[in-house]
Amino acid sequence: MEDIIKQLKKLQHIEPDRLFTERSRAALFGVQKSRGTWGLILRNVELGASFALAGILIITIFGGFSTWRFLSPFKLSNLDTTGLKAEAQAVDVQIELTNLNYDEIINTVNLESTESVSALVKNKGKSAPLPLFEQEEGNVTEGSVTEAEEISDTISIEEALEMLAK
Amino acid sequence: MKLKRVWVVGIFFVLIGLGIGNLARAEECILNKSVFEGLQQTGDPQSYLQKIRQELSLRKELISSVLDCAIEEASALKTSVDASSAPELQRIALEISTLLGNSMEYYKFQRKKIPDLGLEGSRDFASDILVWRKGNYIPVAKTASNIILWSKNQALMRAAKSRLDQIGGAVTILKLIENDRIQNKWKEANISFDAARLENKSAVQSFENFAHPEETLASIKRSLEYLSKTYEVLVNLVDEISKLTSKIQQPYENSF
Repeated sequence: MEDIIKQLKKLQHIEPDRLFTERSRAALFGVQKSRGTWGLILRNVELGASFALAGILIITIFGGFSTWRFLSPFKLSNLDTTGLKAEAQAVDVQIELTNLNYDEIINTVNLESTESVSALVKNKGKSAPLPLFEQEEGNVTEGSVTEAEEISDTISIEEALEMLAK
Repeated sequence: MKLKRVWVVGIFFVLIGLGIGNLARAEECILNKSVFEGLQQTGDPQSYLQKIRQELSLRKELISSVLDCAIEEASALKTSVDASSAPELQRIALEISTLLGNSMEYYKFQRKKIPDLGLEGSRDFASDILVWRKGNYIPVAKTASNIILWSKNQALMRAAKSRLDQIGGAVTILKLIENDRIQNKWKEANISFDAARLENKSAVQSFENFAHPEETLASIKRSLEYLSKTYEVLVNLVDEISKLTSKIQQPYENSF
Protein backbone atom coordinates (compact mmCIF):
# COMPACT_ATOMS: atom_id res chain seq x y z
CA MET A 1 0.00 0.00 0.00
CA GLU A 2 2.83 2.26 0.94
CA ASP A 3 4.51 1.50 -2.38
CA ILE A 4 1.46 2.70 -4.26
CA ILE A 5 1.41 5.97 -2.32
CA LYS A 6 5.11 6.48 -3.13
CA GLN A 7 4.47 5.82 -6.76
CA LEU A 8 1.61 8.36 -6.83
CA LYS A 9 3.76 10.98 -5.14
CA LYS A 10 6.36 10.53 -7.86
CA LEU A 11 3.71 11.32 -10.46
CA GLN A 12 3.36 14.79 -8.98
CA HIS A 13 6.78 15.67 -10.51
CA ILE A 14 5.76 14.79 -14.10
CA GLU A 15 5.81 17.92 -16.38
CA PRO A 16 4.71 18.32 -20.01
CA ASP A 17 7.27 18.94 -22.78
CA ARG A 18 8.32 22.63 -22.86
CA LEU A 19 7.76 23.04 -26.60
CA PHE A 20 4.37 21.37 -26.36
CA THR A 21 3.41 23.77 -23.57
CA GLU A 22 4.44 26.82 -25.64
CA ARG A 23 2.62 25.64 -28.74
CA SER A 24 -0.51 24.73 -26.79
CA ARG A 25 -0.51 28.09 -25.02
CA ALA A 26 -0.11 29.95 -28.30
CA ALA A 27 -2.95 27.91 -29.81
CA LEU A 28 -5.25 28.61 -26.90
CA PHE A 29 -4.60 32.36 -26.64
CA GLY A 30 -4.10 33.08 -30.34
CA VAL A 31 -0.62 34.50 -29.70
CA GLN A 32 2.09 33.92 -32.32
CA LYS A 33 5.70 33.57 -31.37
CA SER A 34 7.60 36.59 -32.74
CA ARG A 35 9.87 35.68 -35.70
CA GLY A 36 13.58 36.58 -35.92
CA THR A 37 15.21 38.92 -38.50
CA TRP A 38 15.49 36.07 -41.03
CA GLY A 39 11.87 35.29 -40.57
CA LEU A 40 10.95 38.86 -41.38
CA ILE A 41 13.09 38.92 -44.52
CA LEU A 42 11.63 35.60 -45.65
CA ARG A 43 8.14 36.92 -45.07
CA ASN A 44 8.88 40.02 -47.23
CA VAL A 45 10.38 37.92 -49.99
CA GLU A 46 7.32 35.70 -50.00
CA LEU A 47 5.10 38.75 -50.27
CA GLY A 48 7.20 40.28 -53.07
CA ALA A 49 7.23 37.00 -55.01
CA SER A 50 3.47 36.73 -54.72
CA PHE A 51 3.01 40.23 -56.17
CA ALA A 52 5.53 39.55 -58.98
CA LEU A 53 3.82 36.29 -59.96
CA ALA A 54 0.47 37.98 -59.91
CA GLY A 55 1.85 40.76 -62.14
CA ILE A 56 3.31 38.29 -64.65
CA LEU A 57 0.01 36.44 -64.77
CA ILE A 58 -1.90 39.66 -65.48
CA ILE A 59 0.54 40.68 -68.23
CA THR A 60 0.41 37.20 -69.74
CA ILE A 61 -3.39 37.21 -69.83
CA PHE A 62 -4.03 40.78 -70.99
CA GLY A 63 -0.76 41.64 -72.76
CA GLY A 64 -1.34 39.63 -75.96
CA PHE A 65 1.16 36.87 -75.20
CA SER A 66 1.72 34.49 -78.06
CA THR A 67 3.40 31.12 -77.57
CA TRP A 68 4.34 31.15 -81.26
CA ARG A 69 6.22 34.36 -80.90
CA PHE A 70 7.87 33.13 -77.76
CA LEU A 71 9.03 29.90 -79.35
CA SER A 72 10.35 31.39 -82.59
CA PRO A 73 13.54 33.25 -81.72
CA PHE A 74 14.50 33.76 -85.37
CA LYS A 75 11.43 35.93 -85.83
CA LEU A 76 13.13 38.78 -84.01
CA SER A 77 16.45 39.03 -85.79
CA ASN A 78 17.23 36.23 -88.20
CA LEU A 79 14.43 36.92 -90.62
CA ASP A 80 15.96 40.30 -91.32
CA THR A 81 16.46 40.27 -95.10
CA THR A 82 17.73 43.88 -95.03
CA GLY A 83 20.75 42.82 -93.00
CA LEU A 84 21.27 39.79 -95.22
CA LYS A 85 21.09 41.91 -98.36
CA ALA A 86 23.59 44.40 -96.92
CA GLU A 87 26.02 41.58 -96.20
CA ALA A 88 25.46 40.18 -99.71
CA GLN A 89 26.22 43.63 -101.14
CA ALA A 90 29.48 43.77 -99.18
CA VAL A 91 30.46 40.42 -100.72
CA ASP A 92 29.66 41.70 -104.23
CA VAL A 93 31.77 44.81 -103.69
CA GLN A 94 34.62 42.60 -102.53
CA ILE A 95 34.27 40.57 -105.77
CA GLU A 96 34.57 43.78 -107.74
CA LEU A 97 37.73 44.61 -105.82
CA THR A 98 39.33 41.42 -107.11
CA ASN A 99 39.04 42.95 -110.59
CA LEU A 100 41.17 45.94 -109.63
CA ASN A 101 44.93 46.29 -109.93
CA TYR A 102 47.06 45.87 -106.82
CA ASP A 103 47.75 49.64 -106.64
CA GLU A 104 44.04 50.42 -106.85
CA ILE A 105 43.33 47.99 -104.03
CA ILE A 106 45.60 50.03 -101.73
CA ASN A 107 43.20 52.95 -102.16
CA THR A 108 40.34 50.87 -100.83
CA VAL A 109 42.16 49.37 -97.85
CA ASN A 110 41.21 52.12 -95.46
CA LEU A 111 37.66 52.50 -96.71
CA GLU A 112 35.21 51.08 -94.25
CA SER A 113 31.85 51.87 -95.83
CA THR A 114 30.60 49.62 -98.60
CA GLU A 115 29.23 52.66 -100.46
CA SER A 116 32.66 54.32 -100.60
CA VAL A 117 34.34 51.19 -101.94
CA SER A 118 31.49 50.65 -104.37
CA ALA A 119 31.77 54.25 -105.63
CA LEU A 120 35.51 53.84 -106.07
CA VAL A 121 35.08 50.57 -107.96
CA LYS A 122 32.42 52.11 -110.22
CA ASN A 123 34.74 55.06 -110.78
CA LYS A 124 37.31 52.71 -112.32
CA GLY A 125 37.52 53.35 -116.04
CA LYS A 126 36.31 56.93 -115.82
CA SER A 127 39.67 58.05 -114.54
CA ALA A 128 41.72 54.98 -115.36
CA PRO A 129 44.12 54.34 -113.84
CA LEU A 130 43.16 55.71 -110.45
CA PRO A 131 45.77 58.07 -109.07
CA LEU A 132 47.91 56.66 -106.32
CA PHE A 133 47.23 57.84 -102.77
CA GLU A 134 44.87 60.56 -103.82
CA GLN A 135 42.36 59.84 -101.04
CA GLU A 136 42.75 60.93 -97.48
CA GLU A 137 43.05 57.91 -95.23
CA GLY A 138 39.72 56.40 -94.27
CA ASN A 139 37.75 59.30 -95.58
CA VAL A 140 36.63 58.99 -99.15
CA THR A 141 33.46 60.83 -99.83
CA GLU A 142 31.51 61.43 -103.00
CA GLY A 143 33.43 64.68 -103.33
CA SER A 144 36.79 62.96 -103.44
CA VAL A 145 35.52 60.49 -106.02
CA THR A 146 34.45 63.43 -108.19
CA GLU A 147 37.91 64.84 -107.62
CA ALA A 148 39.31 61.57 -108.95
CA GLU A 149 37.25 61.99 -112.11
CA GLU A 150 38.63 65.49 -112.57
CA ILE A 151 42.25 64.28 -112.38
CA SER A 152 41.87 62.35 -115.59
CA ASP A 153 45.48 62.71 -116.67
CA THR A 154 46.99 60.88 -113.70
CA ILE A 155 49.22 57.97 -114.65
CA SER A 156 50.62 54.94 -112.87
CA ILE A 157 54.27 54.44 -111.91
CA GLU A 158 54.74 51.94 -114.75
CA GLU A 159 53.35 54.37 -117.32
CA ALA A 160 55.54 57.17 -115.95
CA LEU A 161 58.65 54.98 -116.19
CA GLU A 162 57.73 53.94 -119.74
CA MET A 163 57.49 57.61 -120.75
CA LEU A 164 60.81 58.36 -119.03
CA ALA A 165 62.48 55.44 -120.83
CA LYS A 166 61.57 56.87 -124.29
CA MET B 1 33.94 80.61 -67.98
CA LYS B 2 34.24 76.82 -68.13
CA LEU B 3 32.39 76.75 -71.45
CA LYS B 4 34.80 79.31 -72.89
CA ARG B 5 37.78 77.20 -71.84
CA VAL B 6 36.23 74.11 -73.47
CA TRP B 7 35.73 76.08 -76.70
CA VAL B 8 39.36 77.29 -76.74
CA VAL B 9 40.70 73.76 -76.13
CA GLY B 10 38.34 72.39 -78.80
CA ILE B 11 39.47 74.94 -81.41
CA PHE B 12 43.12 74.17 -80.53
CA PHE B 13 42.64 70.46 -81.24
CA VAL B 14 40.70 71.14 -84.45
CA LEU B 15 43.58 73.31 -85.68
CA ILE B 16 46.11 70.58 -84.83
CA GLY B 17 43.92 68.07 -86.69
CA LEU B 18 43.77 70.31 -89.76
CA GLY B 19 47.54 70.70 -89.67
CA ILE B 20 48.07 66.92 -89.63
CA GLY B 21 45.50 66.53 -92.41
CA ASN B 22 47.34 69.00 -94.62
CA LEU B 23 50.64 67.27 -93.94
CA ALA B 24 49.10 63.98 -95.09
CA ARG B 25 47.83 65.66 -98.26
CA ALA B 26 51.28 67.05 -98.93
CA GLU B 27 52.63 63.48 -98.94
CA GLU B 28 50.09 62.32 -101.54
CA CYS B 29 51.57 60.94 -104.70
CA ILE B 30 50.06 62.09 -107.99
CA LEU B 31 51.84 61.67 -111.31
CA ASN B 32 50.36 63.93 -113.96
CA LYS B 33 50.54 62.75 -117.56
CA SER B 34 50.82 66.30 -118.91
CA VAL B 35 54.06 66.87 -116.98
CA PHE B 36 55.62 63.75 -118.49
CA GLU B 37 54.42 64.69 -121.96
CA GLY B 38 56.23 68.01 -121.46
CA LEU B 39 59.52 66.07 -121.74
CA GLN B 40 59.26 66.30 -125.53
CA GLN B 41 58.59 70.05 -125.52
CA THR B 42 61.05 71.70 -123.18
CA GLY B 43 60.13 75.33 -123.90
CA ASP B 44 61.93 77.44 -126.52
CA PRO B 45 65.63 76.93 -125.88
CA GLN B 46 68.25 79.34 -127.14
CA SER B 47 70.74 76.57 -127.94
CA TYR B 48 70.91 72.79 -128.34
CA LEU B 49 73.06 72.51 -125.19
CA GLN B 50 70.52 74.48 -123.21
CA LYS B 51 67.73 72.19 -124.48
CA ILE B 52 69.71 69.11 -123.36
CA ARG B 53 70.33 70.60 -119.92
CA GLN B 54 66.71 71.58 -119.53
CA GLU B 55 65.44 68.12 -120.53
CA LEU B 56 67.97 66.35 -118.29
CA SER B 57 67.00 68.48 -115.32
CA LEU B 58 63.31 67.73 -115.88
CA ARG B 59 63.98 64.01 -116.34
CA LYS B 60 65.94 63.83 -113.09
CA GLU B 61 63.18 65.63 -111.27
CA LEU B 62 60.54 63.29 -112.68
CA ILE B 63 62.56 60.15 -111.93
CA SER B 64 62.90 61.37 -108.34
CA SER B 65 59.14 61.90 -108.11
CA VAL B 66 58.44 58.45 -109.56
CA LEU B 67 60.84 56.80 -107.10
CA ASP B 68 59.27 58.74 -104.22
CA CYS B 69 55.88 57.45 -105.34
CA ALA B 70 57.26 53.91 -105.59
CA ILE B 71 58.65 54.16 -102.05
CA GLU B 72 55.34 55.50 -100.77
CA GLU B 73 53.40 52.78 -102.57
CA ALA B 74 55.59 50.00 -101.12
CA SER B 75 55.37 51.62 -97.67
CA ALA B 76 51.55 51.82 -97.82
CA LEU B 77 51.35 48.17 -98.91
CA LYS B 78 53.75 47.11 -96.15
CA THR B 79 51.70 48.93 -93.51
CA SER B 80 48.48 47.33 -94.77
CA VAL B 81 50.01 43.85 -94.88
CA ASP B 82 51.38 44.26 -91.36
CA ALA B 83 47.99 45.43 -90.12
CA SER B 84 45.67 43.06 -91.94
CA SER B 85 47.42 39.71 -91.86
CA ALA B 86 45.27 36.93 -90.46
CA PRO B 87 46.86 34.26 -88.22
CA GLU B 88 46.70 31.73 -91.08
CA LEU B 89 48.89 33.98 -93.22
CA GLN B 90 51.24 35.19 -90.52
CA ARG B 91 54.36 33.56 -91.98
CA ILE B 92 53.75 34.57 -95.59
CA ALA B 93 52.70 38.09 -94.54
CA LEU B 94 55.96 38.51 -92.66
CA GLU B 95 57.95 37.40 -95.72
CA ILE B 96 56.03 39.76 -98.02
CA SER B 97 56.46 42.59 -95.55
CA THR B 98 60.23 41.99 -95.55
CA LEU B 99 60.30 41.91 -99.36
CA LEU B 100 58.38 45.18 -99.51
CA GLY B 101 60.89 46.67 -97.08
CA ASN B 102 63.71 45.47 -99.37
CA SER B 103 61.97 47.10 -102.34
CA MET B 104 61.84 50.38 -100.47
CA GLU B 105 65.58 50.11 -99.80
CA TYR B 106 66.20 49.37 -103.49
CA TYR B 107 64.29 52.47 -104.57
CA LYS B 108 66.12 54.60 -101.99
CA PHE B 109 69.47 53.24 -103.20
CA GLN B 110 68.57 53.93 -106.84
CA ARG B 111 67.47 57.45 -105.93
CA LYS B 112 71.00 58.27 -104.82
CA LYS B 113 72.27 57.57 -108.37
CA ILE B 114 70.06 60.21 -110.01
CA PRO B 115 72.44 63.21 -109.68
CA ASP B 116 75.10 61.37 -111.74
CA LEU B 117 72.80 60.52 -114.66
CA GLY B 118 73.22 61.83 -118.19
CA LEU B 119 70.39 62.22 -120.71
CA GLU B 120 70.74 58.78 -122.32
CA GLY B 121 71.65 57.26 -118.95
CA SER B 122 68.41 58.58 -117.45
CA ARG B 123 66.42 56.74 -120.15
CA ASP B 124 68.26 53.49 -119.45
CA PHE B 125 67.89 54.08 -115.73
CA ALA B 126 64.08 54.44 -116.04
CA SER B 127 63.97 51.38 -118.28
CA ASP B 128 66.02 49.31 -115.80
CA ILE B 129 63.78 50.30 -112.90
CA LEU B 130 60.72 49.40 -114.96
CA VAL B 131 62.17 45.96 -115.75
CA TRP B 132 63.12 45.42 -112.07
CA ARG B 133 59.66 46.49 -110.96
CA LYS B 134 57.89 44.13 -113.35
CA GLY B 135 60.11 41.20 -112.44
CA ASN B 136 60.55 41.71 -108.71
CA TYR B 137 58.24 44.25 -107.16
CA ILE B 138 54.92 43.66 -108.93
CA PRO B 139 54.61 39.94 -108.03
CA VAL B 140 55.32 40.87 -104.39
CA ALA B 141 52.86 43.78 -104.52
CA LYS B 142 50.18 41.55 -106.06
CA THR B 143 50.72 38.95 -103.33
CA ALA B 144 50.49 41.74 -100.76
CA SER B 145 47.18 42.97 -102.19
CA ASN B 146 45.95 39.34 -102.22
CA ILE B 147 46.83 39.06 -98.51
CA ILE B 148 44.89 42.26 -97.81
CA LEU B 149 41.89 41.00 -99.79
CA TRP B 150 41.94 37.54 -98.21
CA SER B 151 42.23 38.97 -94.70
CA LYS B 152 39.26 41.26 -95.31
CA ASN B 153 37.24 38.34 -96.66
CA GLN B 154 37.50 36.46 -93.37
CA ALA B 155 35.05 38.82 -91.69
CA LEU B 156 32.58 38.13 -94.53
CA MET B 157 33.09 34.38 -94.14
CA ARG B 158 32.45 34.59 -90.40
CA ALA B 159 29.32 36.71 -90.95
CA ALA B 160 27.96 34.16 -93.45
CA LYS B 161 28.69 31.28 -91.05
CA SER B 162 26.88 33.09 -88.27
CA ARG B 163 23.87 33.69 -90.57
CA LEU B 164 23.80 30.02 -91.54
CA ASP B 165 23.89 29.00 -87.87
CA GLN B 166 21.08 31.41 -86.94
CA ILE B 167 18.82 30.41 -89.81
CA GLY B 168 19.72 26.72 -89.33
CA GLY B 169 18.67 26.97 -85.68
CA ALA B 170 15.35 28.50 -86.63
CA VAL B 171 14.74 25.88 -89.33
CA THR B 172 15.38 23.07 -86.81
CA ILE B 173 13.33 24.57 -83.97
CA LEU B 174 10.30 25.09 -86.20
CA LYS B 175 10.76 21.72 -87.95
CA LEU B 176 10.67 23.54 -91.28
CA ILE B 177 13.20 21.07 -92.62
CA GLU B 178 10.26 18.78 -93.39
CA ASN B 179 9.18 21.27 -96.05
CA ASP B 180 10.79 20.21 -99.38
CA ARG B 181 11.34 23.72 -100.72
CA ILE B 182 12.97 24.84 -97.50
CA GLN B 183 15.02 21.67 -97.29
CA ASN B 184 16.37 22.08 -100.85
CA LYS B 185 17.28 25.73 -100.32
CA TRP B 186 18.89 24.96 -96.99
CA LYS B 187 21.03 22.24 -98.63
CA GLU B 188 21.93 24.55 -101.51
CA ALA B 189 23.04 27.32 -99.12
CA ASN B 190 25.23 24.88 -97.22
CA ILE B 191 26.77 23.44 -100.39
CA SER B 192 27.64 26.95 -101.63
CA PHE B 193 29.12 27.93 -98.30
CA ASP B 194 31.21 24.74 -98.11
CA ALA B 195 32.53 25.49 -101.60
CA ALA B 196 33.37 29.06 -100.52
CA ARG B 197 35.24 27.71 -97.51
CA LEU B 198 37.11 25.22 -99.68
CA GLU B 199 38.26 27.93 -102.11
CA ASN B 200 39.18 30.12 -99.16
CA LYS B 201 41.45 27.34 -97.86
CA SER B 202 42.77 26.73 -101.36
CA ALA B 203 43.87 30.38 -101.47
CA VAL B 204 45.85 29.81 -98.26
CA GLN B 205 47.53 26.80 -99.91
CA SER B 206 48.42 28.97 -102.91
CA PHE B 207 49.98 31.55 -100.61
CA GLU B 208 52.00 28.87 -98.83
CA ASN B 209 53.16 27.28 -102.09
CA PHE B 210 54.20 30.68 -103.49
CA ALA B 211 51.88 30.09 -106.42
CA HIS B 212 51.46 32.80 -109.06
CA PRO B 213 49.52 35.74 -107.56
CA GLU B 214 46.91 35.44 -110.32
CA GLU B 215 46.24 31.84 -109.29
CA THR B 216 45.74 32.87 -105.66
CA LEU B 217 43.52 35.75 -106.73
CA ALA B 218 41.41 33.33 -108.80
CA SER B 219 40.80 31.20 -105.66
CA ILE B 220 39.90 34.29 -103.64
CA LYS B 221 37.49 35.40 -106.34
CA ARG B 222 35.84 31.97 -106.61
CA SER B 223 35.48 31.86 -102.83
CA LEU B 224 33.69 35.20 -102.90
CA GLU B 225 31.47 34.12 -105.77
CA TYR B 226 30.37 31.04 -103.82
CA LEU B 227 29.78 33.26 -100.80
CA SER B 228 27.64 35.57 -102.92
CA LYS B 229 25.67 32.54 -104.12
CA THR B 230 25.22 31.46 -100.46
CA TYR B 231 23.68 34.83 -99.61
CA GLU B 232 21.47 34.74 -102.69
CA VAL B 233 20.04 31.38 -101.56
CA LEU B 234 19.77 32.55 -97.94
CA VAL B 235 17.74 35.61 -98.93
CA ASN B 236 15.33 33.34 -100.88
CA LEU B 237 15.23 30.90 -97.99
CA VAL B 238 14.38 33.60 -95.46
CA ASP B 239 11.63 34.87 -97.77
CA GLU B 240 10.17 31.35 -97.93
CA ILE B 241 10.35 30.98 -94.15
CA SER B 242 8.68 34.36 -93.67
CA LYS B 243 5.82 33.34 -95.92
CA LEU B 244 5.39 30.04 -94.12
CA THR B 245 5.60 31.46 -90.61
CA SER B 246 3.18 34.27 -91.40
CA LYS B 247 0.63 31.63 -92.46
CA ILE B 248 1.15 29.60 -89.30
CA GLN B 249 1.36 32.63 -87.08
CA GLN B 250 -1.93 34.21 -88.11
CA PRO B 251 -4.27 31.74 -86.33
CA TYR B 252 -2.17 32.07 -83.17
CA GLU B 253 -2.30 35.85 -83.23
CA ASN B 254 -6.02 35.93 -83.97
CA SER B 255 -6.66 33.77 -80.92
CA PHE B 256 -5.36 36.52 -78.59
